[in-house]
Amino acid sequence: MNAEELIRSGLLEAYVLGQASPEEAALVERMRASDDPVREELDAIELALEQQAMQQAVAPAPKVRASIMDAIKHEGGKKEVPVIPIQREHKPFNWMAAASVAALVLSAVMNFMQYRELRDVRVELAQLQDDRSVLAEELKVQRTSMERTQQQLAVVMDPRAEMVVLNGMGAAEGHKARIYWDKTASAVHFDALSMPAPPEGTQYQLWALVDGQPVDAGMVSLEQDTTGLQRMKDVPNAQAFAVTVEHVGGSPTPTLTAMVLLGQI
Amino acid sequence: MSASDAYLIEAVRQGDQSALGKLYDAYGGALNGVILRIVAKEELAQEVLQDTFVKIWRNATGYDPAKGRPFTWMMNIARNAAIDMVRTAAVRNAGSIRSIDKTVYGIGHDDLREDMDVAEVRDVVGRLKPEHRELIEMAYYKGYSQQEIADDTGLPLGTVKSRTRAALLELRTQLKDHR
Repeated sequence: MNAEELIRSGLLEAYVLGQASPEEAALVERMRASDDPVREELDAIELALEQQAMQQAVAPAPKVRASIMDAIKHEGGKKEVPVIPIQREHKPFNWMAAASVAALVLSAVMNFMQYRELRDVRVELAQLQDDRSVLAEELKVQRTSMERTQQQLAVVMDPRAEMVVLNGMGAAEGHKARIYWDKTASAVHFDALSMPAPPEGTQYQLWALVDGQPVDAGMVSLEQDTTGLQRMKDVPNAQAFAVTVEHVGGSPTPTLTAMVLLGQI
Repeated sequence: MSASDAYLIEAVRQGDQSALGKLYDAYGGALNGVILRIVAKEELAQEVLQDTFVKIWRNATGYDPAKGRPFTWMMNIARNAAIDMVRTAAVRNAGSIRSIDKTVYGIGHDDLREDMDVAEVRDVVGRLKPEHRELIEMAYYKGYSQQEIADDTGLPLGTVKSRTRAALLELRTQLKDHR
């Protein structure tokens, strides 16, 4: 409530007439101390009642004055010493108690907030740790993949490597595979390219034809990574490579009727 | 009433009897007028007036210049003492609230008229609009709270508040005109 509102509310009149509640009286006294217009209005109200009383003055009987002076003369020595309210002694304690309670409440609130914050941080940390594990796994996979790619690239790009193309024959017409053969190191890498999966219970087997004789060069695996290069058994010398369909695990000699690919060097 | 009144009250607080005599000489009549208006009987008024000044003597420490003019403080002591007297007397005599009204509205009747100048009884309050005079009578001379006035008159509390202000504004205007 500002000064203007207070003046218009009628509370100042009620205050002077002794009708204000303790809370209202406290408000009026606060505003009286801080606002000149409020103080002036209160003075005007008080002055009006004062002037009205002065106009209405009725001289009391002379004996009243004497009676009053006599009464206070006898009270002279008994004039009451201002008593310090007991409340004042308790006040610091009460303030401290109130402050303690306030501090406790504040502390409890802060503890709770900190607890919640800690809990949130822990959840966040766990998530971050999970994320990190996933990333680490992915990195491992990528690294492995990259290493493989680099190895394969190294094989392919090796200037000593000779590429042998194996073409499909008969029923396998149109299918292709490739061999990268480093004669110096005898190393043979097989690239399955577009080979279909072999019939159930069978497996492709690579043969090196050395002086007309087939020499086992290892089993071809299509299961894991058909796009990758597969390291086969070492072949120091050969005139051709062939792939046959054999029982799982391979055969000591090729089943020539089941030859699907042939690559001449 | 001037700032020197505050010094008189301070002197009273320190036990200066002559200071109380000066306050009496300056305001005894005005306070007596207020008291008479409330209690309506000369002998009761004398008793209340003496009681008022003894209370001023005893409780001068209780005066706070920040809370109002010295006269307002003394007048409230006189009013409260007079209203207490009326209520006590009413309870003693009849034990009913109606007697309070009779006593208070006894103003201007019977023996009081003999003691007071008729011109003074027809004071500024008497010249106010009836509804304003009624509010001042109830609040000032009977010590009613605003809620009690609202209950008594059937007026809404808000109207009592605004009308109390209007009544005092009219009183202020009247006093200016008749100064």
